[in-house]
Parts: sequence; C-alpha cells; structure tokens
Amino acid sequence: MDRTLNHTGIELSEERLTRLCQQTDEKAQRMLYDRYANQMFRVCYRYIKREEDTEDVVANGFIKVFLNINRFEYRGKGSLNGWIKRIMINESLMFLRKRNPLSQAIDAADVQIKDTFQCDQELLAQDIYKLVRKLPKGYRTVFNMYVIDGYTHREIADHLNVSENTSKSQLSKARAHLRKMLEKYGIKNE
Amino acid sequence: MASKMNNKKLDETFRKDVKHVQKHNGIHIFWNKEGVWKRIQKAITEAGAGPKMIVWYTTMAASASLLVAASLSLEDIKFNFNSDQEITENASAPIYNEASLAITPPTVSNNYFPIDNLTIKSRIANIKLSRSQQRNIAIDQILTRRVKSQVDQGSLILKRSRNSINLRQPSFGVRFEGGFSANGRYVGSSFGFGVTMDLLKSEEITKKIYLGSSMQLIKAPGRSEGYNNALKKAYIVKAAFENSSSRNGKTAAWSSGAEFILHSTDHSVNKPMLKLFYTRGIIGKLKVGPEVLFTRNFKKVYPGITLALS
Repeated sequence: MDRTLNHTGIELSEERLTRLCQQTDEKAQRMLYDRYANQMFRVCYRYIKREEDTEDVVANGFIKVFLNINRFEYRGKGSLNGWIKRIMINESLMFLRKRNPLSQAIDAADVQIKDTFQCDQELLAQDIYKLVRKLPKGYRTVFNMYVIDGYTHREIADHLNVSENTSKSQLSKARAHLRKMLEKYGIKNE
Repeated sequence: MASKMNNKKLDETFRKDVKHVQKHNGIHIFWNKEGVWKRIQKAITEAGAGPKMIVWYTTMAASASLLVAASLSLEDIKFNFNSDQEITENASAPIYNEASLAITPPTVSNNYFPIDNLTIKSRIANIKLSRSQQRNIAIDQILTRRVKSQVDQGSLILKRSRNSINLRQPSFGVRFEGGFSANGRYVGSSFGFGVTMDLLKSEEITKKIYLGSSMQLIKAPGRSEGYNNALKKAYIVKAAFENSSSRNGKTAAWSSGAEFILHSTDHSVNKPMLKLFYTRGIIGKLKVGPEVLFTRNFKKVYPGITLALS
C-alpha cells in the first residue's frame, strides 16, 4: 500500500497529517516523509552539488521538521509544504556556509562552465533543472533563492551575509551564464 | 534565440520547469531514501528520549513506591462498621436513620512490647458506614466515639499480630528468573536477575520487594524492521512486590509490579514503555497472570499475559 495513504487507502489531508505529526504519530511522520522527501531532495539538490551531502541536508531538515512541528500553524493548503521547503532551503544554505563561506564562493564564481552537458535538440524541463545545478556555487545559490524560491535581494543579502548589490550582480551573472548555456545548446528558442 | 530572452521570460522559464521537476519528480535521482529515513527516525527518537526518560523514570519510581506503600498498608487497613447496637448502647436518644460515610486519615500508633523489644507501628484508615442518632449532633458523637474505638481496636490488632506473627530478621537475596510475555505489541521471552529484600518475614507470611533487570528477546509481528524473522532485544528494569503466605500446608503467592523497557533494537518497541503486571503462583515457582503494556504518554494500551519462573 502507498505509504502516503491511511489504512483506508485515502490520502490524508495536509491538515490532518500535520495534526497527527504534532501528536508524534509515527505512521504520520512516515507518511509526511514519503509525501515530501523526493520533492525536498530536489529542492536541496538545486543548491548542493553532491548527492551524499544532499542526503545529509535532507535528513537534518526533516529532523528539524519533526522536532519543531508543534510550532507550525496550519494556514491552509500548501502551507505545510511551504514551511518544510523553507526549512530545507535554510538547511541547504547552512550547509553551504559551513563548507565554504558563500561570500567567498560568490567572489570566486566567475569561472568557466565545464562543457559536460549532454543534450539533443530540445531541452526538457529536467534539463533546465540540470542547467541550474551546473551554475557555479555563488551564482546558483542566488539564482535559486531569487528566481525559484522567491526571496528578495534583501533577504538573500541577510542570509548570505553579502550586500544587496552583490546579490543583484550575482543574479545578473547567473542569468548571463544560463543564457550562454541555453544558446550553446540551442534550446528554448522563442 | 535564447540570448534574446529578457530577464522576466528567462526567470519564468526556469521557475516553471524547475518547479515542475520538483513537484512531479520529473528527474530520476538515485538517493538513499530509506537510509535517510532511518537516520531521521533515530535522531528524533533520541532527541525526544531525554525529557521523556525523566518523566518515565519518575513515573516508575512513583509507581514502585505506591506499590510498596499500598502493599504494606493493606494489612493494616480495617473497615469498621459500627453496629446499631453499639450506638443504642451509648446513647439515650432514638436512632435517626441516616447513612453516612466517614473517611478519616490514617492514624499511627506506636506500641512497645518490652518482652520482644519491638515497637510496632499500626496504621488504621477508617472508612465507616453507620447510622447516626440525630442529624448534625449525632455525627460529632460518632466521631468522638470513633477516635476512642480506633485506639482500642488498634491495640487489639497489635495484640493479635504479636500472637500470630513470629517476626524474623529481614534479609537480602539474589535471584535469577525467566519469563514469557505476549501482548498486543509483541511476544517475547526474557531472562534476568535481580535482588530481593524481605520487608516482612514470618513462618506464615513473607513480603519482599524485587529489583532486577532482564533482557528480552522479542518479536513484534508485522512491525519489526529489517530481517523478517529476526529476533530483537529489549532491555528491561523491573520492580515488584511479592507476597507469599502459607496456611494449613497450602502456599499462596502473588506478585505485582512494573517493568520499564529502557531500550530495544526493534524500532517499534524502542520507546519508553511501562508494563504493569500481576501474577499468581500456580505450580511450584511458576507464576502466571495478566499484564498491561503502555506506550509513551499512555496513548495506547496493550493487554497481555505473562508467565514467570523464579
């Protein structure tokens, strides 16, 4: 049986799942994990290069989710997903900060893209995802935060301990990089 | 061409496609999902265990204390029913039919027996159902009488105790025991050891407390992870009160107590769990009786049966 379903085979609502997890129900915890783990892995995988590191981040993120779920207040559909995603992004950023200060990474971000990308005529959505992962660390972090996850430049500056202007310039360079890659592979033509 | 894309269009393209991949798992990535879950599970169990362990240790200590205290007090609690005749004899007023229940706190009296050099404390809890003579004033009269009767009866009990019980020196002992238990959560067999301490020992009656630890091999059907038929271990501490009496050549023994599962290699049982049990001797050293297993926070209760050989 699908682990995200309850014993009657009906998928539990986010609200119900939240409540059960707040009561430390083990089955509900497992259900929540099964429901969001893959998605959250892909969120973290956008920020972090190595899969093993991503697993660590996902594990730490979910531990925080379960230990702090009593503080979470359900505010409608998608709020649980959003809350978990925020935790995962914060965990990813924390990991990046520990490994290599992002400010340094941003300074060193002007590097050449290694041409290892394999592609045919048309990139699919998954190739777009892969392109983001191919960005240098500093660019990738800012691009992910601003474009995909909806942070403002002020928030990015606070999180990464850089100035807003640095964030803006990194975003601009990230876009340029992506444009180059898109052009190189001749994809997403207008 | 892509280079002609403005920022807005570029952002939209990436946002849409990346979110699509995330939401619909549009990219296949091999990752150790199960392994990560086990790490999460272990971490949250450990994180929650600290404060809960304190609560459970306290609960267990309180349970054991209550158990011992209640067992000791049981012998001394007497239910006194004042008869109508007594009241009539001591009062001139006609009886007013009224049932009243009076529960007074236990009283303690010290009685010294110079011959045996013994001082015995007697606790008497008074629960009384009686008829009083008149409303209001009758209660006072009865209560006054009861204080006196308590003293009388207290002395009476002690005299009787002194005659019937030949007290022996309490002693300690070591014991090995084995057991089997089956409840709604798991089945398991255990072996362990502990110490016994006599609280009261006479020719007729022995009361003792047992403190021990044991290891239990358990199987939680449908719950155990890993190898399907693998037996898991649970580490348990136990406190029990035991009573055995022998009258007219017949021996009767019973035991009641609490077990506390400290740790288990089976995740489904790896929780602070409390088990209460009551067993009665059936043949020789074999005891059998019911048990109740509580999960943490007493959310779930699993009744079962336990067998002990000690």
